[in-house]
Amino acid sequence: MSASTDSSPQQHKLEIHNWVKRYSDYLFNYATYRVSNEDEARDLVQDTFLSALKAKDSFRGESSEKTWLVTILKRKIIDYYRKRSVQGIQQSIDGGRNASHYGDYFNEDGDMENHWSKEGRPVQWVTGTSSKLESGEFYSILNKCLNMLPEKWASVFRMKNMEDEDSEIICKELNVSSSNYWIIMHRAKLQLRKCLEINWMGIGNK
Amino acid sequence: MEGKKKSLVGWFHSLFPNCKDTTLLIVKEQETHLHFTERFKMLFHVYIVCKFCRMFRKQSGMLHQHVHQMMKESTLDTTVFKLTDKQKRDIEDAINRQLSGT
Repeated sequence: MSASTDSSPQQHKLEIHNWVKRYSDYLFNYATYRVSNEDEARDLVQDTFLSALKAKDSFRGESSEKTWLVTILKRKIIDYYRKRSVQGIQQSIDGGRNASHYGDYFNEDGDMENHWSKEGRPVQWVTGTSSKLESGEFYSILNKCLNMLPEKWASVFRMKNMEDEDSEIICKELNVSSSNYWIIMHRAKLQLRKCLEINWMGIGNK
Repeated sequence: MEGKKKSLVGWFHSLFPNCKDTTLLIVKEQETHLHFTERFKMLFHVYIVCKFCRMFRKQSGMLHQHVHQMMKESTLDTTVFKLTDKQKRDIEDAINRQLSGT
């Protein structure tokens, strides 16, 4: 058995002079979807290449150049979320608005306390509308809605649903307790659902 | 006896969570496994008690599907967002500056 030759994996090499030509659009596209800002995405791509240059000796050739660059970019995106989340910290967990209550959605007193209020309750979405949506359209509506959330909520939402990070890691990176994590996710989804209902389905007031 | 009655009432009430609690359970359900009793309470509320929570569950499911689909598209080689040639040249320059500096 020629195990020694068969088992040696294909070694990848770095071709730095081809990086921009080969990967910049891919990385830029990848980043833009995640940070919803083309200027920030461009900076992240440049930072990724520069960090990769610094770390080029640590590239062992086990993964492809592209995979390696994406790994570096992912780390940069998480740093970006963390910074944004800290900038938004003065807003407190509630973004300074509707502090600690759910009054936009649920009754705050009476027999039906904590049940949907008339204004807050969901409205039937006409199915089929969604299939007409181009992904670019959904992207811009979702961004608009994410931008209306407090920074910290948006970062938590993005890290979970876009980066697919584990919630424990999100809590650690963004300095959120696990009970606050669920409050943030709950409030973020209540608000996003409502925002999509208005801007995507065209129901209710703009 | 009184206490027992009270706790029975409390137990009975806990079977019927309100919409605020139910929507939180729905949000949790979409990320993690609910405990059997939580799942039972949530489903009971959603299917028997409240059509609004049923809509909330369905619509936040749609939100997830669309985000998931969008993120899948973000890793395709056919890119939606592209850098301009000028932006690419600027990045090249930055790389070359760092290469010649070291």
